[in-house]
Amino acid sequence: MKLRAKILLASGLPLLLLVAVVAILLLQRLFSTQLDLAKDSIRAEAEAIAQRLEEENHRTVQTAATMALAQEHGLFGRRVDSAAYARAVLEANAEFTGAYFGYEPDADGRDRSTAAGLDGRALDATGRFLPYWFRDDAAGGALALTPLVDMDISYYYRGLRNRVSGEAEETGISLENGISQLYDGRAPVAGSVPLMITEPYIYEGKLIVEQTAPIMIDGRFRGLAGIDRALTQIDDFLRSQRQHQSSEFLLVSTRGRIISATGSPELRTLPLEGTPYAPWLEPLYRGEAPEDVRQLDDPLSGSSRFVAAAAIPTGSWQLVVSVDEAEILGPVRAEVLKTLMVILAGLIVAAAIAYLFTRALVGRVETAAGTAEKVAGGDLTIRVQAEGSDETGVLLSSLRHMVDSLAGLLGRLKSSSVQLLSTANEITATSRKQEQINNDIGASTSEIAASTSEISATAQELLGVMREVSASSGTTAEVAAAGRTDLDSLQDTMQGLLAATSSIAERLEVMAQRAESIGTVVTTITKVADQTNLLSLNAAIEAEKAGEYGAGFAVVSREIRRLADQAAVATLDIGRLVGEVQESVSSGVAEMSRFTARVRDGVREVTALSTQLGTVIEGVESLKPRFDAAHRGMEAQAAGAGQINEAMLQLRDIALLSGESSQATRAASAQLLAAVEDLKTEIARFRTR
Amino acid sequence: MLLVLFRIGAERYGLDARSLVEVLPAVPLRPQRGAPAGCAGLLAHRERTIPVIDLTLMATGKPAAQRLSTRIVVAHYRAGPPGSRIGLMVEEATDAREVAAEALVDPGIATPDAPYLGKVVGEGDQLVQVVELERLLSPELRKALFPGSGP
Repeated sequence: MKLRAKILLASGLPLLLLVAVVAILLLQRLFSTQLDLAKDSIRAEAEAIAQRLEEENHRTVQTAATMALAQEHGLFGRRVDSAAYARAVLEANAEFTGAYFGYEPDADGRDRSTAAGLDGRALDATGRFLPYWFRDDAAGGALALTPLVDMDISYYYRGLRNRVSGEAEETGISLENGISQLYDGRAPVAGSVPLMITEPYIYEGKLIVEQTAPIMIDGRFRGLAGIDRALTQIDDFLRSQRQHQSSEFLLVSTRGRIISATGSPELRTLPLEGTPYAPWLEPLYRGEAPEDVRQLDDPLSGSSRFVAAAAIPTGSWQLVVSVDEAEILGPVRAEVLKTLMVILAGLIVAAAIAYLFTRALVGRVETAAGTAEKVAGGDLTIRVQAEGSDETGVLLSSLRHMVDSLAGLLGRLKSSSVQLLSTANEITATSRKQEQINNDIGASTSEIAASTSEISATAQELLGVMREVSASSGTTAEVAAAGRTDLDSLQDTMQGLLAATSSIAERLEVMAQRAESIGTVVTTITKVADQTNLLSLNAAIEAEKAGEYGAGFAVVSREIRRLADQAAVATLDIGRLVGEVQESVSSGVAEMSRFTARVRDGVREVTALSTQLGTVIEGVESLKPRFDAAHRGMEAQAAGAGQINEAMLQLRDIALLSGESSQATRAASAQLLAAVEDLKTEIARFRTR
Repeated sequence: MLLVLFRIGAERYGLDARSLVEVLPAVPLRPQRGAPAGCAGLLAHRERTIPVIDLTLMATGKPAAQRLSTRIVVAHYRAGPPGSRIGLMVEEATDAREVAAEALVDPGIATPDAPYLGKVVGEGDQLVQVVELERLLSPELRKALFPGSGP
C-alpha cells in the first residue's frame, strides 16, 4: 500500500467514520424529530377540529335541552307561545336548519280544541301539536312551518321515546342504509338526561342530523324539543379547518354511519363496515385503535397517508384526519437532505484539504524514493527538485546534492578511464610494434652476420688469388706489361672496394639506421663488381688476342670474374637484407628514439663513408689495377667482417633484451587494459548528464 | 678459341673474342633519328663514332633490358670498310669460355631469317650458338650503317 494511501487512511478513515456515525445519528434524530413534529401537527389538527365539532354539537344539544326545559317549566300546553319560541330559536341561530317541538298525542288535552291564534301548520290531522320551523330553501331560506312527520319510525322521536321508556332504542325505527352492525347501544350524549343525536339522513334534500331532548312532566314523556343541522355545512366546516394541503376527513356517527367523507362524499350515510375505509374505522369505532398517529395505505387511492383520530364526546362521533405521506415526509426529507448536503460538503472540503496536504508531503517523499531508486539503478541523469524547508525538503536537497556529487565523480572517473584506456592501448600498441621491430632487427642482424662471414671468406679466397696473381705476373712480365693498365685499374678498384668494405664493416652498425645511404653503398658495390667483371672480361679478350702469352692471364681473369660474380651475389643479398632492415627501420624510426644518439653518430660516419666511397668510386673508375692494395684491403675486409659479425650479435642481444622488456611492458599494459575495462564496465552502469 | 657469351631471351650465344675490341658498360647512346630498325644509336669510342646494333631487338623485337649486365661489345666489322667497327648491345655479357674449335658443330637447320647464326657448342647443360659478325647485317642495313662498304 502506498504511503499516500496510508496517510490518507490513517488520518481520514477515523474522521470519516466519526463523521458518518455522527451524521447517521444526527440525521436519524432529525428525521424522527421532524416526523414527530409533523405527526403532532396532524394530531393537533384532528383534536382542534374535534373540539370545534364538540362545541357545535354541545351547543345544539344544549339548545334542544333548554327548549325542553322551557316546556317543562311552564311553556307546555301553551301552543302559540311554543311555536313562536321555536321560530325565535331558529331565527337566533343561523347555523340551525330547523327548530321544533313535538307533543305526544293529546299530551296537553288540546288536540281537539281550536285555540285562537295557533297556526294550523303546527298541527297534524289529529290536532297533535307538532310545530316544525325550518329554512325553506325553495323560498330563499325564509322560515316555514310544517308538522313533524315520521315520528314513529325515526330516531329523533321514536328513538328518544324508546330510550326514555327503557325500551330498545331501535324499536320501530326505519332508516335508509341502516346502522352499523358494530353499534353497541352507546348513548350519544352522556348524562342523566337522555338526549338524542340522530343518525344523518336526507331530509328536504339536505343531509341533516337532529338533536332532540325529551319533555318530561311528572316523570312522563310528554314530547320533545329538537334542532336540525345540515351536514353539508359540516363538510365545508371541516375543509375550512384543515391545516394540511392534503388533509381529508372522515366523521363517523354514534351508530357507525359515515357523517362526512371529504375525499369521497358518496360514502355518506353508509355504515362504516360497508365502506372501503372499514379497516381504518372499525378499530377506531370499537375503541381499539392506538392513540398515536399511524401510517396507513388509503384503501381507495392506494397512497400512503398519515392518520390521526379524535373523539367528539357529544354525539359519540369519531373524527379521522388523514394527510398524504408526501406532504409530511417531503419537508422532513428535504430537511434531512439539506443537512446531509452540508455534512457531505464539509467532508469533501476536509477530504480535499487532506488530499492536498498528503499529496504535497507524499509527492516529495515519492520523488525522493524514485530518485534513490534511479540512483541505485545507475541513472544519474535525473534532476531533483528540492523545495520547502521541512524534513522532506531537506531530504530532497540532500538527495540532489548526493546525485550531483555522484554524477560529478562518475564523470571524472569516466574521463579518467577513457584516458587510461587510450594510454594503455597506446602502450600496448607501442610495445607490440617495438617487439616486432626488435624481432625483425634480431633476424636481420643474424642474416647480416652470416653474409659478412661469407664476404670474409670470399676476401680470404681473393687474397690467395692475389698472391697467385703476383706470382703469375712475375713470370709473365711481358704479357702483364700489356695488361698492366687494366690490372692496376683492377687492383685499385679492389683496394677501393676493400677500403669501402672496411668502412662499410666499421659503419654497418649504424648503417641499419640509415638504410638509404647503405642502399647507395650497395649499388656502388654492385657497380664495382660489375666493373670488375667487365675488366676481367676485357682482360680475357686481350689475353686471347695475346695468344699463348695470354693463356695464364686468361685463367686469372676468369677467376677474378668468378669471384667478382660471387661478391656481386653476396652484395645483392646484403642489398636485400638491407632493404628489409630499411623497411623495419623506417617503420620503427619513431620507437627507436633511444637509439638516436648512436644512430646520429652512425649517420655522420656513414655520410663520411658515403663521401669517402664517392671518392673511392672516382678512384676506382679512374685508377689502374692495384693488386697490392687489394691484398691489404682483403685482410681489412676479413677483419671488418669479423667486427660486423660481433656487432651484429651484440645488436641481436640488445634486440632480444629489448624484445623481452617489450613483452613485459605489453603484459603490464594488458593488465592495465583489463583493469581499465573493469573500471569502465563499473562506470557504465551509471548514466550521467 | 674464346667465346664471349651473352644471352638473347633465354638462349646463350657467343662471339669470337678475336674479332672483338672491347666490352663496355651500356653507356648512354646518342639516338639516331630515322635510323633503320635494329640500330640502337651511336657510340663515341676512342675518338671515333660507331653504330650500335641491339641484338635482342633484332632477334626478338624487344629492346634489351636496362641492366648492369647489359653491355656493349665493340667488334671489328670486317664486312664493312677497312677498320670499321660495330657496337653490339647484348644482355648478360658477363662471361667468356674457352672452347675447342673442333667442338663446334653445324646446327643443321637453315635459318634464312637469321643468317648470322653459326655453329653450336655444348657448354654445361646448355648449347651456345656462335654469332657470325660478317653475316649479321642485311645488305640494306649494312649499306645504311656503312655507306662506304661494298655491295
